[in-house]
Amino acid sequence: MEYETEAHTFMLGAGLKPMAKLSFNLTGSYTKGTGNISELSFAHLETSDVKLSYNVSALNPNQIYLYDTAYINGISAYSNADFKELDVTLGVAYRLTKQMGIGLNYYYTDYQDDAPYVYRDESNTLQSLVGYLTYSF
Amino acid sequence: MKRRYLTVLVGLCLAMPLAIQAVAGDSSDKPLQGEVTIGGKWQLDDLDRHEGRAKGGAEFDSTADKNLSWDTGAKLDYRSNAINFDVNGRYKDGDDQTYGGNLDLNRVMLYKTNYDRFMHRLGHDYMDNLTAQIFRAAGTPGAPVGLPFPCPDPNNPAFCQALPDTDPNTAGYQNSRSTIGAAAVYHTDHDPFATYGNTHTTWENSLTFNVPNFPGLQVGFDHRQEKRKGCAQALTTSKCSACHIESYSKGINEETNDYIPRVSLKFEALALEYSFLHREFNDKSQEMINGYNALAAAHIAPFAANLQFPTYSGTTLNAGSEILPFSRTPDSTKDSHTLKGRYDIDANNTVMAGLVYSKSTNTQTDGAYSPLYGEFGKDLELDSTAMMAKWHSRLSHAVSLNLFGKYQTMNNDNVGIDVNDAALHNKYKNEPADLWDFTRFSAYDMDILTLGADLSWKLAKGITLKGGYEYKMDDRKNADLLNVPETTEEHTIKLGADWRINRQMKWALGYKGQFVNHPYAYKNAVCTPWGSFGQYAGPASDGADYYRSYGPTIYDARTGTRSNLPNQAHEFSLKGNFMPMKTLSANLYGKYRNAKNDDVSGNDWQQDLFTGGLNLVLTPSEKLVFTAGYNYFYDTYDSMYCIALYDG
Repeated sequence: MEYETEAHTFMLGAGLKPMAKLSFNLTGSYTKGTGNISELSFAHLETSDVKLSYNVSALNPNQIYLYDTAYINGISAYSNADFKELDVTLGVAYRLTKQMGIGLNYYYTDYQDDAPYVYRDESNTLQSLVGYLTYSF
Repeated sequence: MKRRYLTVLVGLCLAMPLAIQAVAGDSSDKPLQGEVTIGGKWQLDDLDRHEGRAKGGAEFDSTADKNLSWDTGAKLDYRSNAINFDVNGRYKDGDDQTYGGNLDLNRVMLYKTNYDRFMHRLGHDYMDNLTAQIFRAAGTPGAPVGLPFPCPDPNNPAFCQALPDTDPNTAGYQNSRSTIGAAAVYHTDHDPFATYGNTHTTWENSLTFNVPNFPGLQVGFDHRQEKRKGCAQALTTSKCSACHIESYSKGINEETNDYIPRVSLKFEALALEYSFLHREFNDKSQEMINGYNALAAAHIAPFAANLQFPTYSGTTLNAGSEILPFSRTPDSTKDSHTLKGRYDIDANNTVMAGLVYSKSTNTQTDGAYSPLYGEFGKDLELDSTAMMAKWHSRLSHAVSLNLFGKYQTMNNDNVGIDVNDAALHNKYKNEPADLWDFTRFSAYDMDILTLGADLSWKLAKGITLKGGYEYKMDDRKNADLLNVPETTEEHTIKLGADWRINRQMKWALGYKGQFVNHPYAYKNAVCTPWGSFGQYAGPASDGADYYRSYGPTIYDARTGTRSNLPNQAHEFSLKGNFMPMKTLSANLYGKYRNAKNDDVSGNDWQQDLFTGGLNLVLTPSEKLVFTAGYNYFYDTYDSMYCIALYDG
């Protein structure tokens, strides 16, 4: 059995201060993460036990035996983790006076769950605005 | 955890451009300076619609489900000859607050405090994957009672919808829909619409006095408090109801307090420090209970109340005795004495030594003897004594040497387990009542010895070579009883080189090799012989003696030894710092680890791990800054599974 996880993270940022009173900032990050289990190779085990070897193919062609160790190979299909997350922040700050300033930030987060499993689909998009007034002394 | 790690990386990268955005005011050299920020957050897309998805994008954001919230902060800084202090704080909501402060009274009294609270949203495991086999109990042509009828039927959704719930406690369950034996997995979520999350609070205080009339003497007191409050999902199952997983919502309320008085003395070349740690962990969380036997009996009619944990009057189950606690963490204390010393022999030689004695106590085991409730009539204790010493010597202008050693011995209480083996209710009647009783010997009864040396050699201007060797031996006292290796010997070699080519470029290379004899492993843990499966092997009169069924073919037949620790590992690392031009700086890093264990049964255990990244900072002018970064993580494990095939 092999368990593999992989993650790529890209980040970008920029800050600009065109004048003493004014500044801008832009940041962004993008993450893609995956995980999976593979190389499971269980074979069917014949036993003399009536339950373990009970043939149910007449009821379900996709499931010949009631219990079959080979069914465990299905873990490869439903063990995948696969998500993408994009975060962006855009901000501006302005100094009104020597002691007072204002600012506004915008936040964007987009999380895409491409392989929902035990926690179901956790995809989400969130946006918010933060405004503030600062007084220094 | 991985996502939080990535968040930290992102945060570090973002710090640079944000730094120039500060709406800072006058920073002249005034005794009193401060800043007050009043702000608010407007959540444009909130979590109300998808609260169950909170982990996606808002795992650590407590305000993401509020339309409006505060975002305020303040800091104050006062400097004078005798008194200096600073305080800072930030408040977003009740579950997101940070405060800190420092006070310095004439360098005689120093006080530092930090308070931090944040929310961690937790996922809800809906257990959809645990409805593995759902069958009709009877009526299937040709199928014995209890054997299968496929459901849900994709061609007949109306029929499937008419079936009762998979919960065996639902009325009519036995007559219309059941599972076969106890080997078909199903589940019950007792709070399917719950959302989970905990608030973590940490408060740290440190008070230090420099005794005025005794230069070098310092006394202090540290306190650290950690709290976890909220609601989390608690899952439970048990032997003989292992195919029924149940989920409850559990109120969490945990508190840990560390109290650390300390004293230190510096006298010429000698420095001594003693500290005492008293730690108390109290779990005031909701006390969870579950009635296992009732559920197992309802699961399929012939599966009567034969479980080993209830009590019986003759052959009659004592009502309520099948209700047992689960998901509980015992209260505990830890007392630790630490003595450290350092002596500068001369300008080139220093020796350091330390002694730590600690006692950890489980304070919830002293009730009347009842193993199922974790009561053993006494507090359970773990004693540990550790001694360490280090000698640092600057052999020449270019060569430095460290020699070090550590010895630790641990002793954990043994526990006698008196299994309620149901002999009284006419099961196991051919076995003595104490057949399955045993003593639990602890894996913490062990000695650990570490010896090592490090050498650093400045080969030439800008070039430093490093090398080291470490020997570590784990000696386990109960190895034979626990089916683990008695002695593990680990040899670690470290090699490294720092090369500062010029002011614009610097490289660091490293290698670490680990070679382990008999790494920690579980002997005879897995893999029954091919074709082996659970089949009853005892007399008919002992129908509930499952050990007779599974002992010979499953438990005692396992032959494979497995481990998830390597017997050899190689790790290579590279770091580079460049400044090709005044406006551009870059750092590059990479680490590759290859580990394997070929001292196990079956396939080797293997690990390949690679992390790497490149980060750039470009500052074309004082008014403009750009940052960019890329980080990569890759990890793969090869292991082996053996599945024991049995029913029950």
